[in-house]
Amino acid sequence: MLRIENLIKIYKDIRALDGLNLEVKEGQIYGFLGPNGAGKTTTILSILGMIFPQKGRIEVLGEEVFNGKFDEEKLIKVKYMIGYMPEDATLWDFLTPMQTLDIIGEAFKMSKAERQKRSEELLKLVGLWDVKDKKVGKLSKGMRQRLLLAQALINDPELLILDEPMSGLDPKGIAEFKELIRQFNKEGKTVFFSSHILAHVEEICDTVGVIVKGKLRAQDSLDNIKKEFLRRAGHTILIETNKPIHIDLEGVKVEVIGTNKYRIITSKDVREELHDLIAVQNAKILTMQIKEPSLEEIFLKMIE
Amino acid sequence: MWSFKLEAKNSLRTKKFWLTIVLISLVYVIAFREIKDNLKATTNLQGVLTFSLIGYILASAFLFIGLYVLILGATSINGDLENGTVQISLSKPVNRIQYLIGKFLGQFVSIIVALLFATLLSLVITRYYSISITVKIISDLTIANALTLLSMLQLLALGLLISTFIRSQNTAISVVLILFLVTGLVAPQIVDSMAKDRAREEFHIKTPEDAMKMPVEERNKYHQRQIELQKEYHLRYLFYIPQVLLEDIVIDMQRTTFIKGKIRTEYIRAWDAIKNNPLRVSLLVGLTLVYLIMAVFRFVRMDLR
Ligand SMILES: Nc1ncnc2c1ncn2[C@@H]1O[C@H](COP(=O)(O)OP(=O)(O)OP(=O)(O)O)[C@@H](O)[C@H]1O
Ligand SMILES: [Mg+2]
Repeated sequence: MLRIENLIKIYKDIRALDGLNLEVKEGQIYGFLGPNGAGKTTTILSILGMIFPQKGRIEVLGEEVFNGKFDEEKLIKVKYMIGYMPEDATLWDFLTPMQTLDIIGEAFKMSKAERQKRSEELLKLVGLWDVKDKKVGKLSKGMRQRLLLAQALINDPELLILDEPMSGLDPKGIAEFKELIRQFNKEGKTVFFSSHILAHVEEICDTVGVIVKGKLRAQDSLDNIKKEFLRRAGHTILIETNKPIHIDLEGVKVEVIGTNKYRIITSKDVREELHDLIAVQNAKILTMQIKEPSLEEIFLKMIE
Repeated sequence: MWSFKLEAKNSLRTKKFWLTIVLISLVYVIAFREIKDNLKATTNLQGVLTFSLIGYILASAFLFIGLYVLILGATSINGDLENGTVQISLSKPVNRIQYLIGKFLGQFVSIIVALLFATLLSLVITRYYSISITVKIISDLTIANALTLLSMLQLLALGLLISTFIRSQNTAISVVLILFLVTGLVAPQIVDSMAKDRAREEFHIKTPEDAMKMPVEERNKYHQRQIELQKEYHLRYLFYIPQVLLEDIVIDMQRTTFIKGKIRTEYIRAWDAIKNNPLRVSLLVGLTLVYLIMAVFRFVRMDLR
């Protein structure tokens, strides 16, 4: 569906994309996660031919749109099948939501009747039907955000690309938004959306790509990312004993964090060995706590 | 062209457009009073009227439409970038070149409307003085309008080019204001005084009294030479200022001759003035194309963010 290989984009002196690789498969909801300035928007704008990367390859919907340079014809062709919602853009404030969707439908060469029907559907879908004849300039930020989503859906796209779509939405809006994405995805459509907030992608994405400083740090399901992280960073076990002990196990790091309190960092399950070792020293375990990092912590660690 | 419709709508509803319309009306309030005096002093009512009306169309064009057009152009691409609409537009199957040209033509619509408005006011004045609107008046006014449109088109293309270079709309407006002052006032002043100096030299005039002491015939020749030199210098040094080119073409719609010390003003058909100035007309058109091509060239390889 979408494949990016070795993409490099340098703005004057900033390396925004530094050999980015990523792949989105058909039917996925792909969360593109990264801290501010990681290069998410740069990636998205490259896919759409809005900015010119220096090197690399981009394949969208089976068309190689970029290979060192853009193929204008293919780009136009795939844009018929792409919906895009930019981050903090305004629409034309002198138009109403209805007129906005109408004129955007025109860009897709839709017939008048088609545009009319589709605009109605979408305005109802995103909850803007009541304000359909109000000027966009007079809508609230959340309403404009919904309109931005609606305009991205006008052509019933195969691939939906969203840049920070949930910023500016209230909790109810976010929940509705996630539901919309799920609905859309159920029809077999692919969604690619960026965010710097883990919670936004957590329940909804089947695959997550983490971008840091223009490079992809990880790309997998959140479960697998977590497992992999634990494998590399290790579990943390906190124990408290009734007297001082000495722990000497292979591949295990120990820190003393209080009187008879220890933090054990290990990459494998050492609970049994630990028991035995402590029993041998005639000591008793008073408490044992296995600390699993939250996704948030993992994410923060990854982007450090 | 998709962006054409959008831009035409957009430019017609901006505050700057309506301000321009109001200012044009003001020019005609002044015109109304002045024409009255002019008409008293002549027997060639139609000729004087047509020429004055053309003069006022030009005046409103130079003063207000020109500035409006420059600002409109200079805030177009950077404006779209600032509010992000260009990213919406170009994420749709819209080609960059078509987008730019459509936008250009859409903005042009508002200029046509402004000029039509100015022309309409001219015709109202004509009727007011109960001078019948003849084919000649209409055709001359149309030609004058078409020429004005050409020069406005050039300013628009220049503005558009500027908007692809200067990222901030406010900076672009300041640049354009300075440009407008320099090319509209300062540069023509300097060049004109250069031309006058040269004429004085040719006629060996050292003090103003020298000119007064000249025989009438000679003095007329001197004045004519002055105008000639000015036009020549304009072409040499100010060929990129459409207002100046336009003015020089329009001057040719009126021919002043001196016969036995008497001044005679003849009004020539506007079309003849165009025929007599092929170089100026082609500069009006040619530079527009150059600016437009440069703007397209920049726009198609620009990072839009
Ligand atoms: N026009 C530009 N000129 C120079 N540098 C830029 C430009 N646009 C972006 N950058 C730089 O490129 C890097 C990546 O920016 P990008 O907008 O892609 O990040 P992002 O992941 O979308 O961040 P955010 O979460 O804040 O939206 C940043 O370091 C940014 O400063
Ligand atoms: Mg961003």
